[in-house]
Amino acid sequence: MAPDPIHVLLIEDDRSHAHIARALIKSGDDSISCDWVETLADGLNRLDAGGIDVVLLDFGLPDSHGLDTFLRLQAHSPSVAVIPLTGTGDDALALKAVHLGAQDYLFKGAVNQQLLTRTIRYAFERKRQEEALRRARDELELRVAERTAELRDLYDAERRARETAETLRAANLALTRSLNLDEVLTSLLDCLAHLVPYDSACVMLHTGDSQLGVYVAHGYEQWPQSEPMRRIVFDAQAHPHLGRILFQGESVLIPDTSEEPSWDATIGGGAVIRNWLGVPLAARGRVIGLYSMDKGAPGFFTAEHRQLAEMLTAQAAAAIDNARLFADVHSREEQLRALSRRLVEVQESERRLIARELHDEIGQMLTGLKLLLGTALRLPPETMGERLSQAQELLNELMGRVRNLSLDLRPAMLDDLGLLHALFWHFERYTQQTGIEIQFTHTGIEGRRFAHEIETAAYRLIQEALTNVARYAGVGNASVHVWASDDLLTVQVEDRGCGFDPETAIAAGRSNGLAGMRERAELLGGSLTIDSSPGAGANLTANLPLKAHDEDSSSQNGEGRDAE
Amino acid sequence: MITIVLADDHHIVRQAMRALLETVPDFKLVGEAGDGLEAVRTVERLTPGVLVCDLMMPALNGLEVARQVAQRTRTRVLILSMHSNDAYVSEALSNGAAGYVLKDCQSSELIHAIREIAAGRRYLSPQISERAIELYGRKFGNMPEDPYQTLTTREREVLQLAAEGRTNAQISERLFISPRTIETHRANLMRKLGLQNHGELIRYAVKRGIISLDG
Repeated sequence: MAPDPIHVLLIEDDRSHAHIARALIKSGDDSISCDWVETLADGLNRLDAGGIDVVLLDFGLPDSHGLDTFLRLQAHSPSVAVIPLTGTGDDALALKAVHLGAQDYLFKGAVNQQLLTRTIRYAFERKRQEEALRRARDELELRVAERTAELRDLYDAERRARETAETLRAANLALTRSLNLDEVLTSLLDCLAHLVPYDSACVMLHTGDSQLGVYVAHGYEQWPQSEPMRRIVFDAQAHPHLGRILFQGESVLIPDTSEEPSWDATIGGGAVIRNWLGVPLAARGRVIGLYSMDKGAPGFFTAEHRQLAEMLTAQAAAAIDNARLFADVHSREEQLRALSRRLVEVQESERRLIARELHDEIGQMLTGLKLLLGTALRLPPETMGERLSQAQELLNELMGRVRNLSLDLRPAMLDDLGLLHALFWHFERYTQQTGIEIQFTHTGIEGRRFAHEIETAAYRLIQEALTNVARYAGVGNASVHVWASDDLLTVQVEDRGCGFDPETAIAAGRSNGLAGMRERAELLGGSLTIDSSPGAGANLTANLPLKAHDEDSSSQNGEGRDAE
Repeated sequence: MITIVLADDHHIVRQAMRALLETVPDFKLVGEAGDGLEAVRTVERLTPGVLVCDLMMPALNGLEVARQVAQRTRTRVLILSMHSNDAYVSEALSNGAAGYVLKDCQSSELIHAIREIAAGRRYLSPQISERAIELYGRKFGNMPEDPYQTLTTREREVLQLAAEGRTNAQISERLFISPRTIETHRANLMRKLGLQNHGELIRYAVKRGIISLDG
């Protein structure tokens, strides 16, 4: 195998020495070629041009001197083998160069052809191996660095996963610690802050159709001109990103709100919030709300934040759901207690009323009747007839009184003939007594009977609402609509009278019966909506479920009856 | 001779009636019953010309007694009632009663009523006859054909604003009532009109001329 060709650069300002060296190289080995320059600067230029394997370097050059010449060359081309050429007796300098990385050294004048070519070839080979070694070592170091970085990443990921797991566990504890909705929601926002470092955040709960109400909020006070977030109600139809969460159940990340046309900058710091993340809360298969996280700077929230926030949703939704159920049960219990208290009161006042009616009216008439009959007996037969017919008149009036008393207590018609007949009868009597005309429409109730408690509730709701109209509304007419489908009975009483503020009216308590009406509806699993404002008339709508009620009518029966 | 069965759950009322009927020479009281079931059985057994029957009775009320007697026998039924209300009268007549007399009537009126129905005619107390006859045989009340008529004024307002594309929040601002209340009105009106979604609501509003597409 032919030896590798070696290209030598001779840097030597002494022409005679240079001449000798070149001649020796040329005559010695065909595979070695040689270039020659006289200064270090030219040498470095030649090295830049490339292709040089070995440099024969004279230390004393016009533009450089001594060991410095070697160091400058080595710094310039570290991968080229360098063989210093020194004068005899300069061993110390030559050895120093070897220590610093020169491959070998030669004394000028003590060089023959064989020594020169061998030195050159050895230097070349050694340098080549050194280079290979160096590359291998570099490679190895690179690998080690890479693996170290990988290990560090793994370690970081593991640490983060552990922190996340701990946060989630802490969240679980915090969320299940309380059944109070506000407390649950507050600790939800606290836990969330550990996972996703938001600037401000709030929890919105679904309150019907497309309504989302803010229940708790953190951090909004930092935004300029931000009103209190709590109790704001958002319409998901008007905010597409809320709509996507509520209706499609998917998280939404808005990297930059200023590039989002549907972003509403007018609410709750919306003008300065630049980055938004919303995550749905789903319990028992439906979206019950969402949490909304804000950041003042755009592009902060990442897909990982989103994942972390989503991890919290299942347990958060379950906790919220539980708290709401609990609150529901709790308030129902309260309502029941209040209602039974009121029932006792109502019962007492009705008894008082009946007692008075029996004593003051009917009792007096009976006394009169007794006196009439007593005197009639002592009269001669020809005048007795007049007294007896007086007695008969009194008796007829008495019968009328008793009938009215009984009807006031409860119209038998409601049981005998059902809601529709009872209502007609009531409207007629009502108009006679108050002069207020009733416009009545009904759908789906003719020829149909409902559970006793439903018919009673519907009848009483209308009766009480109309009593209020007569007492407060100051109008000459009112309208009543009753509408039944398979599963719902809707009862509506509307007037265009003077109206009232529902909250004040309910708080005013017993006199107007609104709270009692609402309880009546809610006890049957229904609802009462009071829509009124001063000067704008009033509309009362009660929705009473029909099917749901049938299922538990046994437990409700007692309540309905007692209420009468 | 008119044969009569008397049904009333009050002993004292039966006693008084018996005393009254016995004063009429061509009346013959052939049986008495203390509740509705007994009344039907007695009539079936004795087939009298007339059953004088209280409206409110245990076991089977007078309305049901009238129906069964009219279906199964040729006995004419006279209902005796405290209630002058049209609905009772109409219900009694459509159940096959031949007459309806108020309990506070004069005894002469009761005797007259029994004679009238025994002769195959109908009899109603003067206080009730006009309105009840007007009512009888006709479906009463205002049951609108058009579901739109079942909407309250408020629901009509909400329907229009919703059809115009306003959100609940906007409607709420406009009508000064809470979004929650708007929601109730909206759900109710959609149920009444049989609408499933907002698209249908708009189509309905356009069809009814509540909104126009050109506007």
